[in-house]
Amino acid sequence: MKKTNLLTLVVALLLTAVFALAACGGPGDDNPDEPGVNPGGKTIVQFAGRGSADEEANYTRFLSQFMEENPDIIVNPNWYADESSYAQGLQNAGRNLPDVFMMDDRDFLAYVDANRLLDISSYVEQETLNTMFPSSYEKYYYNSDNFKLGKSEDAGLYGLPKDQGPYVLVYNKELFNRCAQVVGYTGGYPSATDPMTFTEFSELLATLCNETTRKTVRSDLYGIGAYEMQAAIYSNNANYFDDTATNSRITEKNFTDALQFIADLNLKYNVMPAAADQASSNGYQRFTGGSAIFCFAGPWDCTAFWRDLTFEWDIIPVCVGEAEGAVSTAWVGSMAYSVSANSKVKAAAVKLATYLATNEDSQRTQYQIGQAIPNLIEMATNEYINDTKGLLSGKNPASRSVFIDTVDGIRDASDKVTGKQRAQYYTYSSVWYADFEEYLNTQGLWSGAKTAAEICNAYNSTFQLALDEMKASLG
Amino acid sequence: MKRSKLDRKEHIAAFLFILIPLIGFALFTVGSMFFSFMYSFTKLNPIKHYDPFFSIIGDIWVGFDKYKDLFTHELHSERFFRAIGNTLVLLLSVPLGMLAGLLVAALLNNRKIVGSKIMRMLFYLPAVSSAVAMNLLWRFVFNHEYGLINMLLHNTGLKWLDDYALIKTAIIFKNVWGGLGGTMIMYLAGMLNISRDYYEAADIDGANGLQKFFRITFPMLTPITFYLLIVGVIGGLQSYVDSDVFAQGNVGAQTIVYFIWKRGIGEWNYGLASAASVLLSVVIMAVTIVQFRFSNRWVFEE
Repeated sequence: MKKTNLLTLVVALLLTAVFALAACGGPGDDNPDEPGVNPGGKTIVQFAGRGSADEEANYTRFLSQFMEENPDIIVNPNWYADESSYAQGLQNAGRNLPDVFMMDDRDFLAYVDANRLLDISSYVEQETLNTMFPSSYEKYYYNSDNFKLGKSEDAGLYGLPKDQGPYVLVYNKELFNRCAQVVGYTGGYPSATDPMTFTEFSELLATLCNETTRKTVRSDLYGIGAYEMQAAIYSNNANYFDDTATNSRITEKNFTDALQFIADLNLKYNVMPAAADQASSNGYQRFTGGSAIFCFAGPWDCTAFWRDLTFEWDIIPVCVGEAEGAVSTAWVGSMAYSVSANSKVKAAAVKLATYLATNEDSQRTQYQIGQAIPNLIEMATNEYINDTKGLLSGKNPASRSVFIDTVDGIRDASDKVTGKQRAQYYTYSSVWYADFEEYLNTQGLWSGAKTAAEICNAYNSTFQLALDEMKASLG
Repeated sequence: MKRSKLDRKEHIAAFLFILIPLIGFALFTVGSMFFSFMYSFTKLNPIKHYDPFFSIIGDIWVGFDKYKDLFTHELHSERFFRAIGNTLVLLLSVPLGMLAGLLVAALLNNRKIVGSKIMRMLFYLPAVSSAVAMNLLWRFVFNHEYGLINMLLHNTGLKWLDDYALIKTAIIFKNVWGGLGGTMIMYLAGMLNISRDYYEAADIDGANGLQKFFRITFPMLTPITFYLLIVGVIGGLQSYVDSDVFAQGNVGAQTIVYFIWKRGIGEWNYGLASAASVLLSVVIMAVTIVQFRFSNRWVFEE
């Protein structure tokens, strides 16, 4: 009996010890005398990223290559498949942010304003930056004195681009042809260089998608499954707020006209599903299911499109509004490689971030797997567009230049297409955007119960309050 | 009476075995509750305020402001009240689920029903399935364009996933179905525990099936009913997956926990989210205490 009790006690203590030890670190731990360096004298860089299993496998390869080229550095990766878990992990990291981590551009302002990110401008050569599209990295400058985002005097650089994601229009060429044939439309495919106006687009869809084509082609046919709000607003020379993101502009005519254009695609032209039907199947599902001619897509969609789509498809610039000064402007999403301000291995961390942002093999792999377009100007404008390496042979979209034109922006009078950061990039947090969308839904914009102008006027003071609160969060 | 040495050793060993869960409970439950309570009096933003909490608490202390914001702030109060209303309506699935579970258990307890064991297993399947997978599956079922429900209703066009009232109905239906297996098993176990003597005595007195059910079975099951009610209400008040996965943020299905998540994680407003969490905890505790308090009036104890 006595022996049994002693044995029990020992087992219990061992179990406790096992659980306690399980919580401790692994083999790459720091040398206590020299933080960030292991007992073997190698610098340890903690890296955190998120994405699919395919992306993780690619990053494992990139990191191995980096370590081969830099034998004095060990990279400890921590990969998250889930976006929400990743964001929470960063939020709750306290002073222990990973040395290098992927930073969602919509969260950038909050992190950089809280001095969580390292100013890497003194570590990165201008020559290196010059190899990339200015639009890809200039957004990661910030001046904490005047809270100004973007490159300016005294602004520091707090990230290098992982990628740029222009969100443009994509269309099903086969469905387009079938509808065109039925209605006798001979205008051909839409131009990849000359954006359609809102009216031209609405009328084209009304021509291709009507009772006749619904009877002969598909009964559940739509011209487009859903239209991107930011693309419409930006492309009608409007915005949610002024350049400092402090004053509301949602009551301006250009803004409400852009919203009304979207609503009218359903209410007036009957070429887009009603809001309730969009809750049933979203635009992406309708497009991939072959019942919507148009949809929105970014470079990252190519992976799934190549795998799943059985029809030919191509991309075109987003439509341009009729407002004065309007330019076809797609929103461009992005993530950065940022370095923690508390990193003990700053130089090695910046080296890794620079490698990932500018390494040719990494950039090539990203476009080859249909994940991203290259950040490197030379690779994007020649190798990618013209497929000089033959890595995209036979793969859609044929008009890859639309992605590149969008991120390259307006350089001269002949350019008609540009891109702009997502609206949430300019603000301290992103909830205001979901709240605004929710308000539009509940007030019946999409059902036609109220006009866009009426709804925006009614919401303006609340919207301004949200902007005021976010402004107050800065500094 | 003085304990023997052996007795003491046994107690120590037993205590060591429960030490790990106790530490876990203290750290992850009591600790979290304590910090949540403290956060609710601050304007804590985890990105901005990343130093140890107690070293900065003076700088971020706002007293009861966050509680006030829940009820009066233009950006939050309407959503908070709406979340409370939605959560309360969705709690209807608790009594309905219990009633359905009881009926199914009563039917399957009848040994004359062929295949009752297979039926029990089938009814229990949802209880062992992934909640997220089930919610996604039900989205297909309630899809108004190609879903099974509208097909069975001869395409009435009811927009379950969009309409603010219909989505609540859909969630209640889904939750009754999802909870049926667990409820049924509990009631079945309870029924099997009821002594046959009561039924034999009732047979001698000439009681019919219904009388036996309402005079013997139902009263004898009240401890289980009480347990299911407590657990169901607590779980219902903490509902989140319905709002996020099934309703995908539909305004008509946003619950209190969804509100907490959205404001806390999405907006980094930990103070506001914690204030809502503290109020939710208080409500859960109050409801549970009231249920226990009045349980002696209707819960049968042998």
